[in-house]
Amino acid sequence: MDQTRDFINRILETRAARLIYPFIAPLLFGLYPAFYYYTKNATMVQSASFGRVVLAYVLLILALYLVFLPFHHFNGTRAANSVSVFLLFFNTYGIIYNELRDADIFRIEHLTLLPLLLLMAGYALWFTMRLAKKQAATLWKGTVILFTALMVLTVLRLIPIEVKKARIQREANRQVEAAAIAEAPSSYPDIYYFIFDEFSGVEAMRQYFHNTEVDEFKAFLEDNGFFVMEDSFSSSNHTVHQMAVRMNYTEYEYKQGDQPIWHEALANARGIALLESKGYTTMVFEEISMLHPTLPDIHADYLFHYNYATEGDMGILFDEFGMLVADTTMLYAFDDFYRLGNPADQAHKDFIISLQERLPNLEDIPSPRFVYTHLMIPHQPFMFDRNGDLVDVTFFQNWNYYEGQYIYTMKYIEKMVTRILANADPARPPVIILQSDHGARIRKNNQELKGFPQEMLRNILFAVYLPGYDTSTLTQDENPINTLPIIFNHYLGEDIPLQAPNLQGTEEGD
Amino acid sequence: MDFGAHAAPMKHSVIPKKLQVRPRTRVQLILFALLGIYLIIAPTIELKYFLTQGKPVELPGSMPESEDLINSGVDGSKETVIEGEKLYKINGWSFLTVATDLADYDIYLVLRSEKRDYVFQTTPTGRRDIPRVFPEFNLDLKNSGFNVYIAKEALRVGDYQVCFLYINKETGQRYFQETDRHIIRTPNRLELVKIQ
Repeated sequence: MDQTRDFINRILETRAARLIYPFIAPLLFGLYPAFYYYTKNATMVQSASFGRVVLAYVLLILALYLVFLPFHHFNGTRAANSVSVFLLFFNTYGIIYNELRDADIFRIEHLTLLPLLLLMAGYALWFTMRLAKKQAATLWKGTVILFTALMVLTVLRLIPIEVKKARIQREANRQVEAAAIAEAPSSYPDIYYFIFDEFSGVEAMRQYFHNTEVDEFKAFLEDNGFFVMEDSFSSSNHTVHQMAVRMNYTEYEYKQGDQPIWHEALANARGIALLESKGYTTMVFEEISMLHPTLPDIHADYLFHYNYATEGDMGILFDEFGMLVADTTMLYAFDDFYRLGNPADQAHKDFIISLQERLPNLEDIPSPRFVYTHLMIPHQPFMFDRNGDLVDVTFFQNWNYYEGQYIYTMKYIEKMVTRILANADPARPPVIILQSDHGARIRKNNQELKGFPQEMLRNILFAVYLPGYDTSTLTQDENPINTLPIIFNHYLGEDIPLQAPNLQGTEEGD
Repeated sequence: MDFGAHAAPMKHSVIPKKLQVRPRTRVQLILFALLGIYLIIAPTIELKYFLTQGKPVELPGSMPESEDLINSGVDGSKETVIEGEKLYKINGWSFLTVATDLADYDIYLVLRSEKRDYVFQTTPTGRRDIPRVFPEFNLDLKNSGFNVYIAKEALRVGDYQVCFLYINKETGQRYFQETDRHIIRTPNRLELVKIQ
C-alpha cells in the first residue's frame, strides 16, 4: 500500500506531472457550461453536436493553459488558476450582455462591454498572479472539488436521459413488422397532410397584429372548397408531442422528460401504419428534425429530411447547440461570423423552396399516396420577409419578423394548394389538410412583442379540403386529434371514435 | 566618520506622503482612466464616423404650428439592417388633405421632445388599402405609405412625439401635424407607443 502511494507521489512529483495534473481544474471549470446546456437539452441535441463543442472547449482551454504557463514560470497550479479566471469572464459574457441589455438601465453595446469585461478579466488575472503559493493551491483545490461535484451531479442527471434515448433509438431502428398490405381500392384519395410549424390561428393575427391579409387568405381557402376551423386549439405547445398525438390519435399526457416516448410514437405512427395496410404509398417530408435532431426516422415508404444532418461527418461546430453555447460566451460579440451563411439555414431555405415544385408533381409515386409534410415556417428562423426575400441574419430570432414570415407562409400555402388542385385528377380529387402544430408562442416575457393574448398561444390553423364530405358536421372548435380519424372514417371505412374539443390544454412546450 | 554630511540630499516630493501613489497603482489608475474615456467617447465616435444612415437631417427655419391637415398612421417599428448598420424602420402612411399631388411635397417625420426636434426624411411606399379607406379625398393615395430609418444612437434617451412635416417642393410652404404616437428611446431600444 505504502509502495503504491510512494509510486504515485513519485510520479506526481515529476516535472511533467506537475505541469499536466493542474490542467484538470480549468478543464472541469471550462467544460461545465457545455455539460450544463447539454443536460438541459439532452433530448433534443445529438451527442455529435455536444462532442464537437466539448472538443472545441478542450482545445481552447489547452491553448490558454499553454499561453499562461510561461507567464507563471511554468508553475502549473498558477497557470491553471489564470485559465479558470479568464474562462469565468469568457463563459459568462453573453449572459451578462443579455441580462444588462434586457434590464435596459444603461446603454449596452459589444463595443463597450467587451473591453470593460476584458479589462476586468485582466485585473482578476493580475490578482490571481499575486496570490501566495498556499492561496493559489487552495483556489486550485476549491475549483477542482466544486466543479468535480457539479460535473458528477450533471452526469448523474444525464445518465437516465441517455439510457432512455438509446433505448428508444434501438426500438425505432428495429424493423417494423411487415403489415399485411392490401390492394388499395382505386377510390381511395391521395391525402396531403401539411403542418406549418408555429402558424398562429387567424384570430390572433387579426386581434394582435391587426393583419387583414389573413381574411384574404381565409377567403382564398373557402373559395377553393376548404372548410376553415377558426377556434381549434392544440393540447400543448410542443411540436413532437402534438404530432405524436395527431398521428396516433392518442392523447399522450404532457410530461417533462417524455420526449423520447413522443419521438418513438411519431416515428412509428399508427396513422401511417394503417394507411400502409390499406395500400397507400406513404411519403414524409419533414423538417422537425431540424430542431429535434434526436427524433428517429419516421417510418414511411419515402422519407425526406431537410438536407442537412449534423451526424455522420464532422458537421459544423456552430449548429443549434453550438450557437446556444457560443451565445453565452465572449464569442457572442462576433456572432455574425458564426451565424452568417449557416449551412443549416441554407438547407432549410432550399427544402422549403424545392417542395413547392416537388409536392404538386408526384406522378412518379404510386397512388394512392399519403404525403405528410412538416415545414418549419413561420417558425424561427424568421428568414423570409412577406415577399419571400431573405431577412438579415441578425433578425432570424427576432419576433418582430414573425408576421412577415407568416404572410410569406400564407402566400406559400396559396401557391402550393393552387398547384396541387390544378394537377389533380378531377375524378379523384385529393384530400388536403392545412394545420399548425401549435400557435405563435409569443409568451408574456417576449422582448419584442408585448401583450400577445396568452389564450391564443394554442390557437392553430386548421383547414381541410374534403371532397364529398359533409363539412357541416365539423365544428369550428374541432380537436386536431381527430384529423386522421375524420378522414379514415369517411374515406377508408374505419370507425375511430372522435374526441371533444381541446378546451383545456397545457401552454408548456418549446 | 560622519558620512551624513557628504550624502546626497534626499529629493522631497511636493505631494504629501499620504497622497503619493506607487508606480503600480499609477498604472492601474491610468488604465481605468483610459477605459473610462474610451467608454464615454466610443459611442460618439461610432455615431460620427461609422454610422452613415438613419441620422436626422438639418432643416433651416422653424416648425409651423400644428394644423389638422395631415391624416396619418404609424403602423410599426422594428429593427433592421441596412448595409451592415442596425437601424429602426418605422412604417406607416400619411397624406396632406389639401394637396393635389403628394409628389409635390417632401415628407418628413419629426420626433419632438421638449428640448429639440429631430427631422428624418421619409421614403414613399405603395399602399393599396389607404385609397379604399379614404375614397372621399380627390387625391391619388396609392403612394401614401412611408418608411423611415432611424439610428437609435442618433437620438438622446427620452420621449418623442411623432409628427409630420410636409414641405412644398416649389413654394416651400410647410404643413405640420402632431400625432398621438410617441417613440421612446431607452438606453438600448426604440419603442413606438400610442399615448391615449
